[in-house]
Amino acid sequence: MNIIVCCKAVPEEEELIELSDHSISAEKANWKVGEYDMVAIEAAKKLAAATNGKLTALSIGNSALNNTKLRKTILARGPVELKLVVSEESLSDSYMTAKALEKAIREIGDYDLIICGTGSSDVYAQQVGNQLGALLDVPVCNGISKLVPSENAVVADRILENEIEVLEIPFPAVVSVTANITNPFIPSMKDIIAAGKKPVQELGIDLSDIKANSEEIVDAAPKKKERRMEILEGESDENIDALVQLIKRELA
Amino acid sequence: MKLKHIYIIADTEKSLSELSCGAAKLAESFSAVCFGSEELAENAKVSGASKVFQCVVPAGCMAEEYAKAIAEQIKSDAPELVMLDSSVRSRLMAGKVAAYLGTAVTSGISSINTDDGIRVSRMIYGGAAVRSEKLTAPISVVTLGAGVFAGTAKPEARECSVSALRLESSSAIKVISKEDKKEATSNLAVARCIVDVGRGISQEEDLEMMKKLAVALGGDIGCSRPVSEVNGWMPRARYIGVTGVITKPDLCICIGISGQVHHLVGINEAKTIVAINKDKNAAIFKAADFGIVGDLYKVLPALLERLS
Repeated sequence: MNIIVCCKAVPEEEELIELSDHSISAEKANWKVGEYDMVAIEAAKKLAAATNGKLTALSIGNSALNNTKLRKTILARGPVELKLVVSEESLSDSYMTAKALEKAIREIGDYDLIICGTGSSDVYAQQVGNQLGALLDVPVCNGISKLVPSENAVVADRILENEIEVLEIPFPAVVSVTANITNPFIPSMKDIIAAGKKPVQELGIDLSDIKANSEEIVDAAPKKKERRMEILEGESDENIDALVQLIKRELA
Repeated sequence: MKLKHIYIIADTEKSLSELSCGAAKLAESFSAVCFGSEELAENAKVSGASKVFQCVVPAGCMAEEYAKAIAEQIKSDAPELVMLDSSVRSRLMAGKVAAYLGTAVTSGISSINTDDGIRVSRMIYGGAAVRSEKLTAPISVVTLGAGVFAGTAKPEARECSVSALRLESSSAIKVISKEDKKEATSNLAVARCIVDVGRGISQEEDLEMMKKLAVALGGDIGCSRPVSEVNGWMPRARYIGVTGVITKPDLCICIGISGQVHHLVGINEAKTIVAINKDKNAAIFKAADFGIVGDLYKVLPALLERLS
């Protein structure tokens, strides 16, 4: 099976900075691979291993992708190669990202299955896989919690709110997997060193014709509710009594 | 300013009801595309929609295969906005329909305003920021987060046309089987009191104590993501946070919760937050109204004794 796993470099959310106008800046933040993408990579690796298949990773983003450590983060987790589109064009919505991936996939050409994570850990629209499948005009499905190889297809469990579907998804196809389809892999030092020797190819793709679907985008710190922060230390009877009083008052 | 026309796409009663309230509030008229039962289509006829489209899903076929037919119908009417809920199925439907319309999906919006174009906001970075933007596509597509139109009046029924949408192509993806989820569901989203359990508890058996507390308070029990997804001690439907349930109780008692932003997003709307944690530096105390720095295995039994 020929698998492509899509992953996105995102700013470390713990390192976002709130500016004086309450807007949020990612300028000082380090970049990492999205946590849900790590799960997708592992699910893809397992499927590739089970079918003697080949796993390629694909990522599109800004110059954060030039970081060797970030590239190794992806490659140490199983893909045999990494294809990149590095561009300063801002891909600010799900359609722009899906369109960019579509271009890259058409350039790569051959694939059986494209696997995406449940969502990126920055914007978390949970839409790129869905839109990519529609743009490529191939079978597409989200919420996949189990993938079993079958002849020219995968048999997949799909978790919905109140039911579980079992689907046969013929190739070529695009699926988005759940955050708990598997646990992300923790690479060894050997995996990381080997990752440094794996091929990385930059695809020369022009993204400048992809138009945004929104404007005046502002990222601001969420309005926080003022909390009283009345904190008592220790398990003394007085403290427990104070807690009981408060609970009774709140639920009166 | 009201929009001229909105399309809503619904496959459950709850979704139809919320979307029709929202559509009537935001636009002069709306059309409803419905999946599933006859009953839902009957309800759609009195939902206030001016046009109702029924989609009958053949056995072995996914409802989402209708996306192309729906997109064609939407194009011919050119509404300014398409709205769906945020269920797994609605998300796939939204993504496909939007792709066929050549636009993005703005997912899980927490607010929408049409005074000056269509302005929406939603949570990003796992709750560390809120993104506001103005949608500019000729037809925009959004999925709604919880409670965007809570409290909006139900529209009056209108005279409406009813037609069926035809599925052009046969389904590429085969639905082999469907099974009801055995996993418990929860009503945490509407609970008045929540006992919120984190990884500060040392073993699954200790949940009994938390359940007793919830029962004593007439409340419900929830947890942080690791308790459900890593330890598997509670069903997924009970985990609170950005990828789980968003709650708004009067009282939330956080026991052994460290207070990561992903989790806090799910309890931020609580009127009062109480924290019990042995680590006085835990982030939860900065988000709490009242807290006890102490061993939960001492605090909880004492608390239960006084409440019973």
